[in-house]
Amino acid sequence: MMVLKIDSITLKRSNKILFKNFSLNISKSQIIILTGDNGIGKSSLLEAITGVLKVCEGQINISKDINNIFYLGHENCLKDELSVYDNLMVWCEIARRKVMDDQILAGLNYFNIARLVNQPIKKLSQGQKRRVALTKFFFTDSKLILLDEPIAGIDKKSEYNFSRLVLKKKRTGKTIILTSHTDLGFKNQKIVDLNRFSKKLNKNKKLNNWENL
Amino acid sequence: MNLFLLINREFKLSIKNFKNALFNIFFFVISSFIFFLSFGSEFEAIIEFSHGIIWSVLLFSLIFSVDQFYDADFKDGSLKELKILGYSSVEIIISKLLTMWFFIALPIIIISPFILYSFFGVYPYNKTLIISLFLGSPTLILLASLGEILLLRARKNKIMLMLIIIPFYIPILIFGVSAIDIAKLGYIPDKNFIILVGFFMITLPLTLVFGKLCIDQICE
Repeated sequence: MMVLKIDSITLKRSNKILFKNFSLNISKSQIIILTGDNGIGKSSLLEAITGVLKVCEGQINISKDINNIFYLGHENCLKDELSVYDNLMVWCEIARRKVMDDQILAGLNYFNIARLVNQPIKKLSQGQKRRVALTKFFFTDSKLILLDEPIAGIDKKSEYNFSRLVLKKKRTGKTIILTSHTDLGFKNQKIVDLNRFSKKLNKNKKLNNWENL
Repeated sequence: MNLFLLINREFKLSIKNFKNALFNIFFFVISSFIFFLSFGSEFEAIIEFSHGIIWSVLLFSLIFSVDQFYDADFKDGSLKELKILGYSSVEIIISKLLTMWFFIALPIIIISPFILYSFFGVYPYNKTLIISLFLGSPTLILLASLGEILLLRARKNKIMLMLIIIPFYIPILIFGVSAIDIAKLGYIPDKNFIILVGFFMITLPLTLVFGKLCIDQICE
């Protein structure tokens, strides 16, 4: 079953074309890893799928079965003054997820940060903050999950726990698209190297310039 | 339903950060007292200008506090997150406006008669002052919000951009303050009140339309 169809899109950011005629079909329960150099457009592609970033040409069609998208970007979307618990409760409410206190603790425990439950976010390290943000991924029931460099700054054990969680979500029918510079080694993962598309674009540009001469 | 959830979020965040609201009230009280005390023994001058002082300090309190509602959400990515979760920019702005009014303007409106009481005993134009603040403060919040949204992405020239918004506050100050002047002459300042409501009716759609455009642009 097709979940997402990216059809010949052209994506622009700050007047710079990132891709032209980029297409991708993604089915249910698939893990897609977007790779490529910094600034190639991995995050922009995820934002385009969420609808926040408008595509210049082409279309992104998301299956009607998908009511909401879970997106975890570079920012952790956590309030510094609030405790870990309060941050997660506020997020669960706006994400329309009914979560009990013990579930919050279970989610935090999964990433080994249950002891920090009452700590304000400002007192946590960058890695701990990222793990709190990943706890949102633990709670989500969205069928389409977009993660932008989710394991940046976290330790090996949390990386392993994260990989297990991705596989668990996949088994429950979720589709996961993530960007990463690290090979997480999932079975049946589909790797999309965005460098290839960008090179293709550069090549075309050169060709166009040559043709103009 | 969406709006209710957002208002609930904003209220919870404001309650958790209650010290910010307290700081705004503290700023209002201290600034008002400093203004009043700067008149020295000229008691009649204080009576003459007291409502203008209250209005001016209210304006500064709103301008200084509005960034805590937008800036944090922009910097930590929450603004983008809310958009992706399906909330529209208009809903986000309305929820913030209501919270701002409730946590910043309303306490000041309630406190201002007590500040005046500490100087004059019972201030005879309390009712007019409260009504004018009640009708004028939402427009000040709308303008302050619009200014803040416009400034969110600006790294440089923030003060210059803030100055561009400041002239738009002046008509509200003029009609708000003159309502009490009219009451002092023994008339009912109903026309001033209607004009203040009119300002609100004009500013609300403008803030929502331009605020939406800006937030959509910022999130890209």
